[in-house]
Amino acid sequence: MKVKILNWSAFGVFILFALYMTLGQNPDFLRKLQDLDLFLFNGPFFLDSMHQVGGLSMYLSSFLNQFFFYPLLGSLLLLILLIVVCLLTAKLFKLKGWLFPLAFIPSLALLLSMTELGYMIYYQKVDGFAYNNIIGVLLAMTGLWAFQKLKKLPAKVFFAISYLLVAYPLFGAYSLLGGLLMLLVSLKNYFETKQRTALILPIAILPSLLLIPIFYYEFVFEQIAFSDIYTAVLPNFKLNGSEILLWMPYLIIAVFFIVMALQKWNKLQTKQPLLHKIVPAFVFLSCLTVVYVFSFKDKNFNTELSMQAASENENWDKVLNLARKQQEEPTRLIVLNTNLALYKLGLAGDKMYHFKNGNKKMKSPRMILPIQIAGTLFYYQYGLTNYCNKWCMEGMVEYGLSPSVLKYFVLSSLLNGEIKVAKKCNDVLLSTLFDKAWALKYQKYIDHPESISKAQEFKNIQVLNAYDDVLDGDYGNMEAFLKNHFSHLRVVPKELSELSVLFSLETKNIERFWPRFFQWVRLNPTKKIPIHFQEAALLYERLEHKVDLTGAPFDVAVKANFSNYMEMVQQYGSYPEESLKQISYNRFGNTFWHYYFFVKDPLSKEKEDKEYKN
Amino acid sequence: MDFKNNKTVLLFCLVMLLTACNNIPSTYTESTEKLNIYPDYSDVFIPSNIAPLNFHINNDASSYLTRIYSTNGKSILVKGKDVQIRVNDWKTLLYNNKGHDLFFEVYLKQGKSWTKYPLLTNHITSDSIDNYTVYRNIQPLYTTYEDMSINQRNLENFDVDVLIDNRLYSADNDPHCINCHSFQNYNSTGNMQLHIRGKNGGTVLAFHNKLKKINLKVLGLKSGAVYPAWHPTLNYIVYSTNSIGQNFHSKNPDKVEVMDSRSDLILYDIEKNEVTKITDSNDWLETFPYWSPDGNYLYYVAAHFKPKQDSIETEIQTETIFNYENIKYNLIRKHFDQKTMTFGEADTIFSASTIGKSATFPRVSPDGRYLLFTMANYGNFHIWHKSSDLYLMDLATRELKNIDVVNSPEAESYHSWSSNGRWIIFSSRREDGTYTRLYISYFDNNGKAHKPFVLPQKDPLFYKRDFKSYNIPEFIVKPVKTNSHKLYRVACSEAEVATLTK
Repeated sequence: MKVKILNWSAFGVFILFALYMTLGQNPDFLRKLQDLDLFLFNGPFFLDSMHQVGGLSMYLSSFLNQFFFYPLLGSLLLLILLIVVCLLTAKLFKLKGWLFPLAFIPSLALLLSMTELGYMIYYQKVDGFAYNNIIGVLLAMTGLWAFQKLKKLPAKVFFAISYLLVAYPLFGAYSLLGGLLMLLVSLKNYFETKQRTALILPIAILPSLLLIPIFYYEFVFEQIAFSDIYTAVLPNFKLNGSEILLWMPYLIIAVFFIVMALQKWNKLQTKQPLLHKIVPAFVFLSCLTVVYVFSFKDKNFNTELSMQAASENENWDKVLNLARKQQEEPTRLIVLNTNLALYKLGLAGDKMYHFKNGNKKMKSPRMILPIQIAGTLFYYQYGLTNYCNKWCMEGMVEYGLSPSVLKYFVLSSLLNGEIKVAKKCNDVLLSTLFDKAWALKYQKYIDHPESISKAQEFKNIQVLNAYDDVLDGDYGNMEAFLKNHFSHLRVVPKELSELSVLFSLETKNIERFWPRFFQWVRLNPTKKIPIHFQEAALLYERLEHKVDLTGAPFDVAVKANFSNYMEMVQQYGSYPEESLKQISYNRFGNTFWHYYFFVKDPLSKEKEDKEYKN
Repeated sequence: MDFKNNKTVLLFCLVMLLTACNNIPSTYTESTEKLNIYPDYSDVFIPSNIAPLNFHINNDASSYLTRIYSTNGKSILVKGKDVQIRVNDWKTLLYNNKGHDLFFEVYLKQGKSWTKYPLLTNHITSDSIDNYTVYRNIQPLYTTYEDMSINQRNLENFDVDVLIDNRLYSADNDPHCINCHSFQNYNSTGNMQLHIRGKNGGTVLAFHNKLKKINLKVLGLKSGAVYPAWHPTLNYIVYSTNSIGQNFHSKNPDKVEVMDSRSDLILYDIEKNEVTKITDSNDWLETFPYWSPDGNYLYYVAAHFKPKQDSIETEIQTETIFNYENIKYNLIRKHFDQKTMTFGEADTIFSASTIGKSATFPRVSPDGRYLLFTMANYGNFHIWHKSSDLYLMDLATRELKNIDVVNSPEAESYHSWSSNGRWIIFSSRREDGTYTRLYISYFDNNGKAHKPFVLPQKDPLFYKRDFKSYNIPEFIVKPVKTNSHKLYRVACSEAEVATLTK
């Protein structure tokens, strides 16, 4: 009775824990998993998958991964599969009674393999990587289960070799795990029975494990490097630095299965009955703790994901709500997204410096740039459709087709008048299960290109396209490129007047500020001059005394505030910079003045070069 | 009841049913509307040994029947919206009808009645095409590159062999670029080369049935060897050495500019492993060499560009960017004395710059009569220039001949002659402006080019789903004998460094 309560409790805890770690932590992360991977239910997609080692695993994984479009549905599906893994583990290794909690270890490790990812989702190249591990483990266990069911030696030999021959091309490295388990079980049997005939199995299996991948490499597959043949379908984590920790769940699974294959539970049960009751539960709870501790947790990462999701729906108010909740120093991506939202809502000129600024390093074990994550979004929203197109292509080249890049490829191609390419990409989305609705919405523009210029959503972007062509490059540095693009326009069209002033503020370039500022004033004679524009004008006039602002229609409050700022500078000017910075922030942190004097350009030349090289 | 008789009756009915389904409808209405098919395989001249021209019928109907026939032999019947023709049936039909027209007769059932659409007519020439073409399959990439391969396609069917895939060579974080596959005399000698760029890169050479790797980044040269041109009979390869930069347009639909800030020509002696400079000027950009079929002339393109600061590389590159629209290449040739192994003076064959244009990829026809080249408004990397078209010059008269029929509003670029001079294969972005496909055009013995057709695929909708481009198409007369793993092993080996001679 007690053991039943324990086991059902373990089940309940596992279910709640898994749902909390997936759906509870960040549904936007789950949606992002779907957005970065493509599944098509057609023959060519299936055949293309089969051209790779582990192709069937990737195909099935991509199929399952797409359900993360609805995070609840995806989480439940994931949970069901993890439970299946647990039950199969219990059955295969006879983990019943007090031992049952141990059956959750592979499932917990598999859960960790997803929840530990964080920024590494942007580096994964294996299709459907969130599910490959689960499918692989299920395959390995099923193979072992079938192997153990066979009694006769010739049948076992035949099965083991056939299993590797069939499973390796379809499931990659996990087929080798299954083979390895068969080998261990055979060796265990030999050491127990001491029969020479028991050696036949290990002698047959070991060379097969080594040679079958080589056979496929030499004669079948053209698309895999020799160094990858034993790790096909596994993620591309490095074996050094902080990425080495990402291999932990895989190590846990491997060690667990090896131990299970060699274990003798009946001895433990009879010799150490107390341990037999306590240890499994303790191990289960420890594993839960390990999963929680080593899962990726970073508020900035969550905020970035949520902001990106909101931006893609052009829900700029939501972006600002998220920005208002920002407690810690933001990453550049958060700052960029906040500024984009402010601009879209017409609030940037008044509120840009009201939000937290910062340059917190992304908590990624591998160097990652904002452009890799959201370059397509930003370039599109700023009207730089050629660059949006470029980064769609870069994404497609390096990581394959995904709804994420296909959508922006459609949008930027529509605005560039490249209707045929837009159709090509949209046709792919029309073949998906969940992105079909999006594709149907934009199909009407493909069918009637004349309606593009009339659609408000495109008008808002097209209006930003009013610049002259420049031949250059962004060198992977989106923020610097945007700053330079808008603040260095040789001729500033009226549509880009506000942006050119805003980015001139960001670059703190006084020379570029004045002509753009006055142009804005001329173009908007009845509008109130945005507060930050006034702040910059007052400061620059004070610094250089080159422009006469007498009679400028500036707010009395802004002028008074500026006087106060100058008094503060005089009063505390001799203080150490850090102290002055804090004083300035406390009283004037939401002004351009504080930004000008105390917020360093996060993108110095040296840093730009280093980031680009990486 | 006689069971045996019933079986016979049943069998007879089955046969009748099957043949009835495959019969041309006896009653139908004739449509005057042109049938909408993809790809466009109508009014083209095709080789007698080309793979089936499978196509997709875009018109909607409940049933489709296509009859393919010519003057002689049996017709071929295909049901379905995707007209996929059996290779053997097709081969027989073409073989028996060289010099005759080929007809696609299509019937569509809409509602209860059949409609016959106007005949699609093509012409089967007596001229065959080389059995193979080799091309690179690659995404239209900008800076990153991932998977690409050099493939050998049998033009008589749909077989594709991968000569080398860079994923064999590249670990995940260390991708390599493979490019510039080139053959001596249509691979009749079995000699070929290709470059591998990246860590431990080099040039892989298949020479006299042996594979070796060489390093052509020779001290004393401005850069390593890039675009190759095999001498048709001697064991020499001329290369250009190029300092190549790539920049992006923020708005121009051409999107990308690939430009040389420096380029020269070198001669590589394969047997001696020696490099000799052919040109070495800071005032001229010389590139894209190509030998005449008799080996007596080296053709190339050259643009005059004298940077203000010719010693600082970054300054030169900046100047190139600022002047990109003004860098225009002319077609040049130098006589080559095969006995003394010396080059003559440069002779301008065509001054594209004087008409405000820029020429590249000179290719002389196998009979030495014509020069095919690409021309656009400026620059030399014309696949990125929508203004780029193919042009033909009669070398006897130095007059340009009109071959507008092969061109389109999108970029036409890299091209090759078949070994019999009757076919031209070239890359074109006419389909959607972004993805490059290979087109084949018949060039008859009157010097007239004909409407091109896209390289046929087994799946008629293949190109709609394909997100890769095809570039550098080269005809070869016999297949490449090596395989990807052999090439890979050589590519991984240490390279022999070539030496520079004075």
